[in-house]
Amino acid sequence: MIRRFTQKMKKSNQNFKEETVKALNEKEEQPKELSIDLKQNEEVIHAIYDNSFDIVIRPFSASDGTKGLMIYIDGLCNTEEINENVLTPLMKDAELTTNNIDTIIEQHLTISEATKVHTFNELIEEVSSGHPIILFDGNATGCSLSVEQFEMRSVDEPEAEQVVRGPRDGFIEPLIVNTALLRLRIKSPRLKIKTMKIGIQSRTNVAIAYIEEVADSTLIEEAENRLKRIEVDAVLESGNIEEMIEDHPYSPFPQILNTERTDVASSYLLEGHVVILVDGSPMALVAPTTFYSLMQSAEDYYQRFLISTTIRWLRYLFLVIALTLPSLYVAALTYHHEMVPTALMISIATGREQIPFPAMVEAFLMEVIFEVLREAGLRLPKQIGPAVSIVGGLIIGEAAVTAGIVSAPMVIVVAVTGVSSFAIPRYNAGISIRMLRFPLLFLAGMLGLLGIMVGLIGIIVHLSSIRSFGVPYLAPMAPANFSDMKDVMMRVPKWAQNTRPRLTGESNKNRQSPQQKPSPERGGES
Amino acid sequence: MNHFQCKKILHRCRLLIFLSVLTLLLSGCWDRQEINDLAIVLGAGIDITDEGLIDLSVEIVTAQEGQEEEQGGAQTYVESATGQTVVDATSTLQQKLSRQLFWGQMEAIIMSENMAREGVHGSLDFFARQPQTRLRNYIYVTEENPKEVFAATPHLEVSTTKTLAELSEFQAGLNVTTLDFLRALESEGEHGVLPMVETLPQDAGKEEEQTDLMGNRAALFKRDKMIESIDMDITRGVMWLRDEIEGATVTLSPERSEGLISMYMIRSDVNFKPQIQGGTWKILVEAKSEDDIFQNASNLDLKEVDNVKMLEGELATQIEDRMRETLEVVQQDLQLDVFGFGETFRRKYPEKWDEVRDQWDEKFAEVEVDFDIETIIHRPGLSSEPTGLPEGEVEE
Amino acid sequence: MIEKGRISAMQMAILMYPAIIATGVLIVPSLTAENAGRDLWISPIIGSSIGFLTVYLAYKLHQYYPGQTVIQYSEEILGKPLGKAIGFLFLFLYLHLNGVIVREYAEFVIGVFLLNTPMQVIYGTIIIVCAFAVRGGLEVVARTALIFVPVVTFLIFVLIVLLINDLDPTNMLPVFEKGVTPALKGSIAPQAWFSEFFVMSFLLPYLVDQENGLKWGMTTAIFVMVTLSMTNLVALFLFGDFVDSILYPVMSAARYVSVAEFFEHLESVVMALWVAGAFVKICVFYYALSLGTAQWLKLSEYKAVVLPFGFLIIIFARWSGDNLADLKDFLGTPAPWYLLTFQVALPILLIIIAFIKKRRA
Repeated sequence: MIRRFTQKMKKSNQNFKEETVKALNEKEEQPKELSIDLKQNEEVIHAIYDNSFDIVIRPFSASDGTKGLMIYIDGLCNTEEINENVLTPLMKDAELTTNNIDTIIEQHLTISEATKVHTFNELIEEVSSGHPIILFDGNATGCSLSVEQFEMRSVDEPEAEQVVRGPRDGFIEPLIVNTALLRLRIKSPRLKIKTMKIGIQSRTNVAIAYIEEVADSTLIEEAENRLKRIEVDAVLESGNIEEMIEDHPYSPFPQILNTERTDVASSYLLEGHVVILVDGSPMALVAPTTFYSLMQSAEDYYQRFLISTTIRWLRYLFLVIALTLPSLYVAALTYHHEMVPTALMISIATGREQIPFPAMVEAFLMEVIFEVLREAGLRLPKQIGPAVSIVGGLIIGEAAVTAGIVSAPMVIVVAVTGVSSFAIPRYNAGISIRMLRFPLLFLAGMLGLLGIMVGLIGIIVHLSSIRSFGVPYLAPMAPANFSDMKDVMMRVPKWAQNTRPRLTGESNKNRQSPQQKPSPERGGES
Repeated sequence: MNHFQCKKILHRCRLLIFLSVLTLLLSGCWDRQEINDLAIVLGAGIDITDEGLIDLSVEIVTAQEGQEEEQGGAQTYVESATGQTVVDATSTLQQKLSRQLFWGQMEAIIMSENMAREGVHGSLDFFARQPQTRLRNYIYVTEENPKEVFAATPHLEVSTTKTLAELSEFQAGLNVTTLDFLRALESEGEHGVLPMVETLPQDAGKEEEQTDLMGNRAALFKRDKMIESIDMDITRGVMWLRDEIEGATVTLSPERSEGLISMYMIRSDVNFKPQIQGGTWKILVEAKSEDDIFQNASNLDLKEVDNVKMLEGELATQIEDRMRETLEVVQQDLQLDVFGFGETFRRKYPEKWDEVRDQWDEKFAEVEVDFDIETIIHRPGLSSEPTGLPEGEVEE
Repeated sequence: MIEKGRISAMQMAILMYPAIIATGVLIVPSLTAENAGRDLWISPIIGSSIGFLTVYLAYKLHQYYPGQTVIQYSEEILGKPLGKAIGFLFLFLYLHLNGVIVREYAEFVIGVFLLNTPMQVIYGTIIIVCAFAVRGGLEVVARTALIFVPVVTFLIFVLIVLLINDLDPTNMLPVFEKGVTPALKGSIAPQAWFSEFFVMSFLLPYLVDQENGLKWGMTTAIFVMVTLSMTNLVALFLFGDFVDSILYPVMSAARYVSVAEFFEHLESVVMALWVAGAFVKICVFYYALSLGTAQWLKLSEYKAVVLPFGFLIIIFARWSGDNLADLKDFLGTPAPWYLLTFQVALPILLIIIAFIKKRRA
């Protein structure tokens, strides 16, 4: 029976897939060539873009008398430039002949980039990218003009990854700006950026950036293949791509790093990673990634290395606190009473005397309230956000303790846990850790410290079993690689970062000349 | 059949099994015990009744919710019950309490002298075996009823137990943990010694309802039975010989001058060097003591090297006298090896030890003891000459 | 080949170290103290000779038949029927041993911490995580061990440092009070633990750097010897003659720690360590069992047998003793001979036959 069921499932699955793809492609199923007859072309275009008020289809006469047609999307092109550099020469130039598009591009159009189009599919794509198309009667080749101009925000400081010291430019939505920002940082022609279009409806441009001869060729191939496999109707954010290409979809841990920072993306490129940029998303994806890179912040590399190393260790400590503190507290309070020093135990017991809940329920309640407050503060308009934290954090917390609903130590524990989780520099990693607190809390409530230990072992087994694009997630700690630990256990100074990480930069190991440690004897005076 | 699909379904089944196991676990919480369902025992006292029953008393913390704006404080009270064994008494005790007894935070055990003279092994076993209590509990013997000791409400600490633990940690008196005592019981060449504690009588300047504790005497044991109690001076001597003395003060009146000088001991070290020559067993006690002068009520000028040398000599004699006096009582009269002489012989002369193993107590009384005492006086404190004396009266 | 993962020789060493000491550190001191008295720290040093021998045997056999585990080459050495029988004996040994390990683990956790919790729950939780890891393959087990072992070792070290104030080194004197015999007698239990090194023969075929297998195997044996001897010493320094009446000396030592009235009552830390160590130990034997069974039955993968064996292990854990005294009795007397027969005598036999066979060929 199971067999029949599965077969049926599989069949219906396949049918469904084929049907949707067909439906989505339907309009483009007839990749018609442009016709010589302008009238016919106009009809087809009208049919494609019916009920689209933002489409401008403007007929005109060229100076030699042929009918012409210009199609563009209002708001996506620079109309001034069209007027001055396209329509003016076309309508005024005396020696214009419309039967050869090449001569028009070469001699008449005073704009930087123009390409020829032959099919309606190309035409549609160009138009939607903001390139106006001009067609002439009697010519089956159109011309697309790169005069796109659309509203975008300026390149400004990344909101989610702030630094005190470091560059302030972050990626923004248009892909073209983002790739330019990458080029600005890495000027070598070995920086390659390939693009492809993903999304049957959205036709989103997705770019894969890598540095040739640094990134492993199999990695690039794997990334491309995974991207090519995607068949969705739209890609609205790089998160959509991330979910389609990661190795372990059920894992709570992010296996692909996302960053808004151009310097972070560049540094990963230089270590042999692949960066995936998605048009319309300011978040670049970096693959492969490891658990430890989620614990690193860009600023680590710009501050003095001793300080960065200390801060890294603090982060590991806070990681452990964020994950286990509430469960440890519950375990100590309900199972291991001797763990707490006597004086502290007495004061906790005093505080808990009137609390109606068992410790685990109390912890669970407070943790949930904390998560709600965090979420509410995050989504609300900027003006209301602080009010929520004041009402939630101060008033509820204080009142709940005074009213004897929760105990003061519990509020402290929850607050410390919350703050610790914010010390993890990657927001998505912080969330994963915060969510894993809850199962640990239950385990602690069931079996005390043994439960916590079992939970932690489970988490670590899971972490050791996942890979990101072939790289073990816990590398370089497990499997151990002592030279790569230079960027995990500590942050070695720039002059000692002579080699690239083994698992991504093996093909081009040395990144700088060795023995560059500065010292007074090497100073410039001589 | 499609392999992939089949796996998927199996996967789902497995998830189901996993979830049901989790639900099973959720119904668990077998050992869960909320902190406010516990009666936290700080100290336990054991006495023996006239009928031969164990009388167990415990000092329990009661957490008091403070009044508004006021920090809740901890208070303790004493509850007791009798039974045939300690555990028996515990269960009777438990019936009197609305909360579960919790032994994990215990710090002291007080035994009555009657109990100690009967033998303590059986009762101590509970505290060594039970998984909650630990071997670092301090043990005391008292001549009074342990309940009375617990009932004392000291000025400085919250509870009797806390007071005792702090006293022990200072090492003002002897400092013996369950482990130390059990180790001595187990050892062939050493007898146990426990500090004794008593409540202090009322005195001027103290609040009426509060009593303080003092523990500067000691009880000597032969195997697990108490034999004799010794007074404060002998106890100090025992502590010197056991190398447990810390922060002691010695006062002596130097020969060449009038008045007293008090010294504070910074460091001391005592070693036994056993020696068997022919039939005589000898112990050389090597003691080293480093001191500072804290009070100079004499007319001695401590800038003078000779004076300091002389003081060092006198200090050595004083220490030796103290030890001799102690040995006289403990070795000659009581014949109880609480210093571990036997253990040192055993370590150096295992074969000879084998012969006397069973008659060690008699042999112990015959051991000759020599002393080699080295004393160093480091500094004279912050003033060198005696303060408040005219120049002429200072002895140089 | 059934196992596709590869580990380095160092990773193997990191797997083997807790695989021996996890239960060893806790139970061996009291087992040796019974016989050896004050010489209990010498016993692991004597016992380690068996460790070196076993490592050498496992490595030598591996050299004769590279890429094969004991289940596979015993067939080649002794022919199919007899080889299969030997393979079955080994599998049964590991199943039983695993049951005993799980039982030791549960006895400790329940005896010291969770008095009222049913034993099945303790068995179940550890078996679930172990099965989870074993199904992940050798690489996953090795990586998990890599994360835990440094932490565990470091914490043991911290524990000893915290105890330094309470240690009395003179407790170890006189050495050899009653001659060498007590220490020799006491070394029987450590020998059993050292013979467990033979489980290495299931890991050796999957090394990236085969040539380092022997070196790291021996290094592990030395580390195990040092660790066992050191924990015995610490127990002796702390407890003196009292050490033989304590069931879990390391545990009691941790309970005794008190530094600055803050670092005290550390038994929970010991339990956490113990759970992590026991996890690695169970995983190694569980893995050997599952892989060996798949090879014995010539299956294409071993994942399918992991969960069923989990249940079997729980059953064997229940069977391995009526109570703690029974279990300890088993570990003290028959177990060493049982383990030594299988993991030392049998391999010696195999190696002799293999040697003769190679000679003739």
